[in-house]
Amino acid sequence: MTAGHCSNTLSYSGTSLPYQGQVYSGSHDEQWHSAPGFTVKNWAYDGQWDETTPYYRLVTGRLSRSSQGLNSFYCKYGKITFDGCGYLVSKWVAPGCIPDVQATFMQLHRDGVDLASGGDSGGPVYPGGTALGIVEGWAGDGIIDDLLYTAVNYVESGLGVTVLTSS
Amino acid sequence: MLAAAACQSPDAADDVYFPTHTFVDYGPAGELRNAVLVLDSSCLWLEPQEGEERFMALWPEGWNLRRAGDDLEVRTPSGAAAVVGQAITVGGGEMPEDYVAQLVTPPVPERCRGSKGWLVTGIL
Repeated sequence: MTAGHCSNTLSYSGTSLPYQGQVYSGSHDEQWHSAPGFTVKNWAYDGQWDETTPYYRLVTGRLSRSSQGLNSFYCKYGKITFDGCGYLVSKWVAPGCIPDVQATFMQLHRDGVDLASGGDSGGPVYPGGTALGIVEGWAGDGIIDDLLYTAVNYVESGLGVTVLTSS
Repeated sequence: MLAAAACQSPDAADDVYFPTHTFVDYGPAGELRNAVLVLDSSCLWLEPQEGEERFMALWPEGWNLRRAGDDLEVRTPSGAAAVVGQAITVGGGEMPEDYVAQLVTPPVPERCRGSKGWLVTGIL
């Protein structure tokens, strides 16, 4: 799963992952691919080493947009800016370059911390093992930026998929 | 005629369509890796090397295209950023073909239509 605005060509460990569909309008910016030959698991890459779940965390739950609280401290992983955390400062962002955009996108901020950059899209947003959404974009001066994400329930409803929360 | 010629920068590349967008304080956080910047039909395209279809490049407001000797350079307000013919990695996101016209100025000429756009937010 990744963001709808990402390229439709995706691979994992050198194997092409067939494109299945995407939604890029309104409250949606998501895309998914199947993974033939792989076993899909309830793992989210977090870039953090530990002995039991090296560089990933187990996803054991999800929290819909309506249940995500303003000023909550949430974390994320992005391929470019890596792991980081910030406060949920808005649930009503409308990124202007999404067709017929609705103000349902979420914004994380932390003073002086660059939370998102080009290349981070599709990364997971979470507290602990709870899936909150996937990285959509950045907002700021292009140097120290806030992170925008699509809430997990919109990702699921847009694609007709369910985020795994058990193995 | 003389006045028009006098006002034109000698290194301008005004014959090439160079669409710009205004999303400079927000951007989709996607990435297009190692795409070759190609000039075709006086339009600029980003051609991925993994066989995917090409994108029309949509540039941030304030960027422009200039000739530098035999090269065509995409320039940011702070200097050269990319040269036509070279592979670049750009941040931003893919835009549906039927939506591109709403994002950029000047209007998309007929010769440049028919492909999705890539909204460039920066060169990585």
